[in-house]
Amino acid sequence: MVFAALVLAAIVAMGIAAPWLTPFDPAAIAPASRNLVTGAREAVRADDGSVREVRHWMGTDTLGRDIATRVLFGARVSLSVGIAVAALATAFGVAIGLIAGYLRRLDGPVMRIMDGLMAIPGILLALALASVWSGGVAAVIAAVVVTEIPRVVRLVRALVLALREEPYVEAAIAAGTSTPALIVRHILPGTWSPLIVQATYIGATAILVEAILSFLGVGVPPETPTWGNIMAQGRSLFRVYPHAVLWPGLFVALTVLAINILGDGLRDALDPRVRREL
Amino acid sequence: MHTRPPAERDPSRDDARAALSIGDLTIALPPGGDRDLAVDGVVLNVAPGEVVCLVGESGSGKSAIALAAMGLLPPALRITGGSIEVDGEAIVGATEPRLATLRGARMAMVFQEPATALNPLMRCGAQVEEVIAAHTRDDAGARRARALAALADAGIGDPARIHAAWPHEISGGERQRVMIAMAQVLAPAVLIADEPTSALDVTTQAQILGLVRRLARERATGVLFITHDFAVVADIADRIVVLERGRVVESGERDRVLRDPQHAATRALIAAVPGLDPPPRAAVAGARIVVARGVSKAWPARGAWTRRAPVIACTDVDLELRRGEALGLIGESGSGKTTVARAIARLIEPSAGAIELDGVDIARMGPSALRPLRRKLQVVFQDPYRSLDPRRRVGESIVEGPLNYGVSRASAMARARELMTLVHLPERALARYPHEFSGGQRQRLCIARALALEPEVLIADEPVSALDVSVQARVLALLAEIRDRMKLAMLLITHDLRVAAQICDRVAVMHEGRIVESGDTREVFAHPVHPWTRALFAAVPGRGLANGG
Repeated sequence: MVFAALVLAAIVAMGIAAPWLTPFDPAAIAPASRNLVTGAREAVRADDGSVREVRHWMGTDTLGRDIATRVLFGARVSLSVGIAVAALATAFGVAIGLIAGYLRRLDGPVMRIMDGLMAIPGILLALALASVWSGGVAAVIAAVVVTEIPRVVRLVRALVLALREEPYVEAAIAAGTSTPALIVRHILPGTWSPLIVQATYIGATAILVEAILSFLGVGVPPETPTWGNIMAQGRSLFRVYPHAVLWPGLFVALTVLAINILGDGLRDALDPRVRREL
Repeated sequence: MHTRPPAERDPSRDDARAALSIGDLTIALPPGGDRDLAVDGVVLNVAPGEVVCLVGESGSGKSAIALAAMGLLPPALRITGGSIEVDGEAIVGATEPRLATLRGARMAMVFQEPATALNPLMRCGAQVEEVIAAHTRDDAGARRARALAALADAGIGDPARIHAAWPHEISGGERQRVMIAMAQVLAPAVLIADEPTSALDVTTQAQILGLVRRLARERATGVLFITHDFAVVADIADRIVVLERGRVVESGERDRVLRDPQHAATRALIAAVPGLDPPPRAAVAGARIVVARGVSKAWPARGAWTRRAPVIACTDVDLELRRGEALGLIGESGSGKTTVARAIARLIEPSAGAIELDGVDIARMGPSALRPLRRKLQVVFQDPYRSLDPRRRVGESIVEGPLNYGVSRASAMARARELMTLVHLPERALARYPHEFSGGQRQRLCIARALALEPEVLIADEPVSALDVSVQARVLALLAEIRDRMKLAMLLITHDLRVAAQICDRVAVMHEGRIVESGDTREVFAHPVHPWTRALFAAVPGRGLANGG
């Protein structure tokens, strides 16, 4: 878990510090240095006329852009999509789930809408929404949030229904706790640990879906580097120059894995019953 | 060595050999426990047809012995010495395939909780037949016939119905009979029963105890019966083995041990059994604080496609409770007593009737009108493991009520510390989490939480039924002390007449949702009138135990 946190922190730091970590511009096209392999060296002439050698740690793509640079900048988009989707889907999902779990009259209608959304395969729905809204990162986030909300709602509703039957909740009611206070003190804390696991899972899924949407060309516009975009552009020459797909793919995999491990660790850390075993 | 086929055993054979023989058994606990050895040098023999009771408090190592005899010890527990022989065959060191052949055929086990010991996704009959199929070459027809016969042997009136039923469709007593049928179907040499009746009502318990005794006699099966309740021991045992912290501290013939217990642990366990004789009490003359009139509750049945009749939980219940009085509401599970308690506490809304709390009818009140009145009436629930929010420190749970009614945090915490003294727990308990406490301690904490609001009425719903007998006695004594000291009105819901005898001034007996008998405890106990009440009394275990309570 500590390792996963370190990996994730390193990726986040890389995204933030991207402009200082690399001498290249992520969008600068260099026809002379197309399709360089991993670790290739190249001499560049700076504005003042001096020549120095630079290294393309992950090679370059078909337009001569440095892949390492694009991966670093791509981390910004991918991570913000993951975090934003996890936060928004959880927030909306908890609100709707509480309504469904607590107001029995709305339970039926709300859950049928959620079932309807879940009946459509997630990728397909996100694909359709993202292409209709076609507005870059925001549209991608919104599209993934809509597909992920029903999962959170179902989880929260089920937890609320189980928790409100617990004797300690009844004891709190008998002690005169009002419904809002009951939800804040006893119901919501009981949902945290499964929700955090679910949220990290959603964040990881969002990063993947963003990559898929961008790969398919309906996500983030191609000039903005994202891990999905880089892979999409590298796809055509994958057999000859696999590095253009493998490097961003490695980062997607690492990030998703780290987030999932972190989620499991957080769930245990938040539960007082297993906390001492950490 | 294996001359006899393992699946079949002739129950009528003449065999002086012990059914189960445990010699100098030692089982190590993982490091960091409260002691090094779970079981320390235990010697134990069970003859064919004999019922040997292994008695001890929770944690004394009795379940470890049972699991070791079945070859089912969890890997964390290691047998470090000694031998176990079932019907002459060594269990310690036997290979897993050999153990699998023996389990079910030569040794069988009945567990405490029949609701979870049966597979919910298999019909009961199929589960019995599974045992037969695993050990014999019977065809489907023969298997079915044997399963039906085994169910009938286990005292099931219509085996065909139970054979086709799912576990959730039958009662707890019937489930335990199915478990016994599974254990008995191949006439094993040894039957190990681990607290098989502590999850059951008294009347069902009495029937199951009778069944186990009868099967032991008829089938010449040696029974190792594990329990913490000496009342059950008195009813079923031929011989008694008392265990304390993994060691045998006393063993002998039943009558000898009961009449003349040698070891302090034995005497403590026997003394913990509450007596059936209610002590004389002065009549309570306090004002009426709770008056329930004609309380009924019907749950609307919600079928997906069909309309079904509503489930009636209780009908026309009248109750009165005075200040300083303890009223026992007695009945089996499903008799509606918990529904009545929950209606009076207004955790549910009654379908009909009036409930006056201190002169105000609360039966139809909405949540906001109810809130100011709730502090007058507090509840202690049955399951101490689920009654405290696991994510909140104990202190937070206890001060929650007072804080709701505008008491300052400082004075609420001061009151909480006083309450810790009252329930005999250290003040530092307030800063801990519920999982750090034992069941009995948690129930004390729940009592403290209920008292934090200084209520006038305390409803205790089976407050001790989840606890060991020796722990029960301490919690009941605490409840009685609080009732006397604070002049509380107390409504005690229980299925156990012995519990009611200890602290109740009056009792009301419920059966099928109605109160069938009520009156002063001594009067009802001395002269039960309703046949149902008499049946309850007849079922109380350990009546042979000379114990004044």
